[in-house]
Amino acid sequence: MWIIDAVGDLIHLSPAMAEWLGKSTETDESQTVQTVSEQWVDALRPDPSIRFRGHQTRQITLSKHLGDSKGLGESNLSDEALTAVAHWVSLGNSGYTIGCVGEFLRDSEVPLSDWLGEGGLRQESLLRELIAKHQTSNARTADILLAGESDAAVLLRRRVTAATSMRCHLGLFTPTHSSSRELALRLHDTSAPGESLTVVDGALMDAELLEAYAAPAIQSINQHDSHRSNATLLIERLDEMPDDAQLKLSQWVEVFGDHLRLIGMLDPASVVDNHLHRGEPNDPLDAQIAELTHMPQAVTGIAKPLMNLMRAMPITVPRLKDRREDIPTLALALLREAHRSGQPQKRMSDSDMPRLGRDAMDALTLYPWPNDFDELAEAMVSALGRVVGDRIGRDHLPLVIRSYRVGPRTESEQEPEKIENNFRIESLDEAVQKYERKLIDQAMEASQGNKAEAARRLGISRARLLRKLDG
Amino acid sequence: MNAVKTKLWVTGPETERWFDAARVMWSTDFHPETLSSLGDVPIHKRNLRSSQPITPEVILWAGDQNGIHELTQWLHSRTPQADHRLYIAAGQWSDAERSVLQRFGVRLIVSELTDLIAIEHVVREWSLRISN
Repeated sequence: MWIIDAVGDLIHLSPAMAEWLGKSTETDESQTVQTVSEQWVDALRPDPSIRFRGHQTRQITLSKHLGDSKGLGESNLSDEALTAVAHWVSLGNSGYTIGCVGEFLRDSEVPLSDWLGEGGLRQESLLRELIAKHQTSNARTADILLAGESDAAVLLRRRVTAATSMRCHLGLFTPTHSSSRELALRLHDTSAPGESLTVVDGALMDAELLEAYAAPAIQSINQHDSHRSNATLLIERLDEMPDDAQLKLSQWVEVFGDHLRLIGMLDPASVVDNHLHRGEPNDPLDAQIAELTHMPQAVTGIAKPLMNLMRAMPITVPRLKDRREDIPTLALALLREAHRSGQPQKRMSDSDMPRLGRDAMDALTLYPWPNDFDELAEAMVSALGRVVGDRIGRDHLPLVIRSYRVGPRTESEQEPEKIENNFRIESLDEAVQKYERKLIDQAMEASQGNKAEAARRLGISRARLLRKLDG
Repeated sequence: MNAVKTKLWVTGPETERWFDAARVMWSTDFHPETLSSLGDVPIHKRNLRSSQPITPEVILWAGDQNGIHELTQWLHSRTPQADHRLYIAAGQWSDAERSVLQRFGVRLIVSELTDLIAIEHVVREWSLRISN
């Protein structure tokens, strides 16, 4: 193999080629190139027409004796001649041409393992298959998450439709759960299909780790003009990301502009909390310093430039307890999904699916859902595993849900307040007497009518008890 | 501060190597255990109404040159991820493979044994946060 530069000079000769020409491979490469005679170089040059076609193939003949005895002219053709078919390929617009001789195998003669390395093809197809499966199941979960007719669900659907129609920075104001993660992945897959994706957990990053994890994305953006590609960084728990890592992110966004797209997931509780309690900086000097240094603002927990990006296209995923009217729809959809994925080989139809009983539906609607959508999904999977027959009742739901009672605690907390506000009884004596009678009855009942025993249980004398019973 | 008991399970084809590394490079707060396969990872569910502190669980999967298929397949087939679990993939992975691992829920990736040192403080802070 050899390389010819733009002006037609031989600039590289591979060791195998040098050997073929009878040149020593021990010497320095540049020296080998210099010792090749002009006639040989001439033969190694492609025809000028290569500029139009980009490649060329023809036979070349090199006389060995001619090469070794410079300047003897072309008359010594009787000496040993080297003949071979040479191929040239021009390298883009650079003017360089690469040439080679030798025997070539047809593509079909090369075993696949040589192309891709051991197991490479299988690995690749398996990965592709897995990603496709994952994307489909993601999309299904995300679709269920968006279902429902409540105002919050309608707004969420509108926002998601807008966000999938273009590639822009996205702020998902939701705690990082697996359902919100799946929504984020789906937003990425639909708004920028095929774009490389890096997922990092903000809470686990410091500046150094972030740099290491995002390196592939940054490298692909950092390429020169035509090779420059876009990349997406999906950051979970952005609100918990340390300041130095946030600073790094802000710098990247400033340098790479829209080539680097951020999808951030922020827990609305902590963001709102920080804003409410600590507020925007009250001291103008603090604000100025923060503005000038571009340092993340300790007051908000999130760097200002990042917060602005996240607010450009904010998507708030409402909590389940804030859209209780959607719970029946979501529960049914999740049940259908669990039913379908549970027994894929049997291809069960929807008609085989057990229905959700009224008592179960009531329990689902009243439960406070601390773990939100994911908990509902798990509850449906577990109910489906437990049900016998075609009806899911309250008893088939997970213990946490079926044993939930609308707060005895909240009632007892509220009642004293009621009493305080509207406190009034007819007569204290009467009330005390009633209470006393109730206790005596209980004691009598417990001692099965034995008055002496009942008196002991009440801590009074038998005579006193008899008086009270008579009175 | 050291009272947090973090479960650390090491599994995968290269278990032995990474198990030893975790014992040497991570502090004694972590008590690594080996599992013969991913299937042995216990299915613990968090009881949301329990007042018991949550036990953070770290799963370090040590892969070999045969690729990430075993882990991704396992993660894919499982029910949704629990927040008290952290998955770490150990091995020399290409950028494409890292991206796939991240997509499936792996949050930390280490390629050399010494990379464990760099992530120790991160894992420790994470386990403190989870258990509180």
